[in-house]
Amino acid sequence: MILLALALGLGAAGENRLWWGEVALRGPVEAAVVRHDDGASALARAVPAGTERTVRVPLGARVPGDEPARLPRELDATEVSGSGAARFAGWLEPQPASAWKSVTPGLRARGLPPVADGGARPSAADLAIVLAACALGFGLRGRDGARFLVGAVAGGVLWFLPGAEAEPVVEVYEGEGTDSWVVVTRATDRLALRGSELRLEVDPPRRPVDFRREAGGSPASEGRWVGSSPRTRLTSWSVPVAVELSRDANRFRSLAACWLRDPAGGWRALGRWELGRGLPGEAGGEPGEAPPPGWAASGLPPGRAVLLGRAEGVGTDRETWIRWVGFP
Amino acid sequence: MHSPDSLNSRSGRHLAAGVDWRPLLGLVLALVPLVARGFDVGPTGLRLTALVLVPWLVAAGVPRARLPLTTTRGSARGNTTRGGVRGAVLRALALALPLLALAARLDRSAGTSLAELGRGAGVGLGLVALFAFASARTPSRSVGSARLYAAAWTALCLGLPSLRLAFPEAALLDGLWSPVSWVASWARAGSEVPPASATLFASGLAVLFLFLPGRSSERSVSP
Repeated sequence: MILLALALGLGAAGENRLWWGEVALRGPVEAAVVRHDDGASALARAVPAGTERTVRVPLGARVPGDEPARLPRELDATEVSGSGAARFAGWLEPQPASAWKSVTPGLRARGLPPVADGGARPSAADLAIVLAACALGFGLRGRDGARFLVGAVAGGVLWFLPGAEAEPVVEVYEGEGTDSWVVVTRATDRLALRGSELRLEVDPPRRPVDFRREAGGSPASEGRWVGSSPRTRLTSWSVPVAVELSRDANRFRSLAACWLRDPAGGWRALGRWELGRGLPGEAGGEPGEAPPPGWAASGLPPGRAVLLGRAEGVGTDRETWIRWVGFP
Repeated sequence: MHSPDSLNSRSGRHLAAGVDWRPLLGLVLALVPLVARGFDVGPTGLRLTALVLVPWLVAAGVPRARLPLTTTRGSARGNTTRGGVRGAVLRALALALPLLALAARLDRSAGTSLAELGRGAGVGLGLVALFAFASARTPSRSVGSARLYAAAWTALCLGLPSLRLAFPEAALLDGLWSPVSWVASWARAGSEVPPASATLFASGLAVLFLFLPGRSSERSVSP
């Protein structure tokens, strides 16, 4: 089944684009950028004069066979803002990606949730406004003030026209048996790292991946790393914190909808599953009607119970699912 | 042989027809690659705003041989007047703005910050206006200043980027002196807008050549 899933292109099948390196900074440095053939990582970290620091940096290098031993020994360039210096000090050992092979094969082969194919594109109306403004601009012979006014108004309209709404980040807590979990996170164009990623893939493959540290997380933290690759789908696999869920009590998230597949293969919609309550249908919940989405219900191993749930909060910038094969 | 007056008069009628090839060239050079790629910047991950600005910056500043002319408003016959300098700047900006705004919006939705876009597009548009002004103003000033501006433009927009390619390790040629290299250095996704001081200084210096004394232009413009 796993081989079939891999053959169908399900799950992780590309190359890992998340490798951690170390950069030695000698102050004064305001910011530094590490460049390589497949992207760049920007550090906005002030290092005062006379001090030295070594910083962990994610790098989107492409490595043959995903073998850490084949990481390039040197990187193309390191640039700094300030009169200090930055030097690529080497790769982190062991790489978090080394743990990927120890993840249960069934989890690595799961089907991925769909996300948009990446990046906002101009609509037909956008292009029509550009062409109309330029045609009108050329047509207004000698009236350069009017030309400028037309260009400025068209520019203002194009800037403020509502573009396509940002696609939400989709994360799926994938469970296998009682103790194997991984969180699959998918997004378009940019993806914030949790810090516990084992792997990152991009689709289409071979596109450059840049990383930058952005403000976020707890106030005491130094922000979070965000990977970006325009017009690209990014998918990460990371290790989750504990998932506490059983038939007796839901201590994970309030689920807006959930489904249960029996070992014979039949799906049953259970409706909402509130936080702190028992499984609907078994503890007095209202059963639902809608079938589970195709991407979540297909490609799963037969003969085992499967719990599928969608967490509250759909419509916001994050959509969370749980899919547990071998639900006890 | 045509006299300069007759040539200029023909040119005036040509321009009076509304065809100034500089903004048209900028528009075509900026639009064609974007449309051909379906506004997908592909594996290079370039910023669309910078991609639009580079050809416009070059096209707006191409040195001119003669003073640009424009029609007198309301004249059925299209009488030509001086006053083409302001018009040349407005034309360059007017035709750049719609495409630039669209590119900036798409970059914004792809994650480029508003502050970064503001700095990059703002300085870029300022440079377009500066070079459009200089290109249009020099022929009316003097032959000498027109030649000096042509030399400065060639050095800034063609020479420095070429030297930068040839000597990437040379700190003095770090690319930021040339407005073209300045925009190009910002084009790559993930890179930040570099300080604009060097390119603004160099571009301002080029425009200062306008005010250097030189041999007065012998051409006149037929009203």
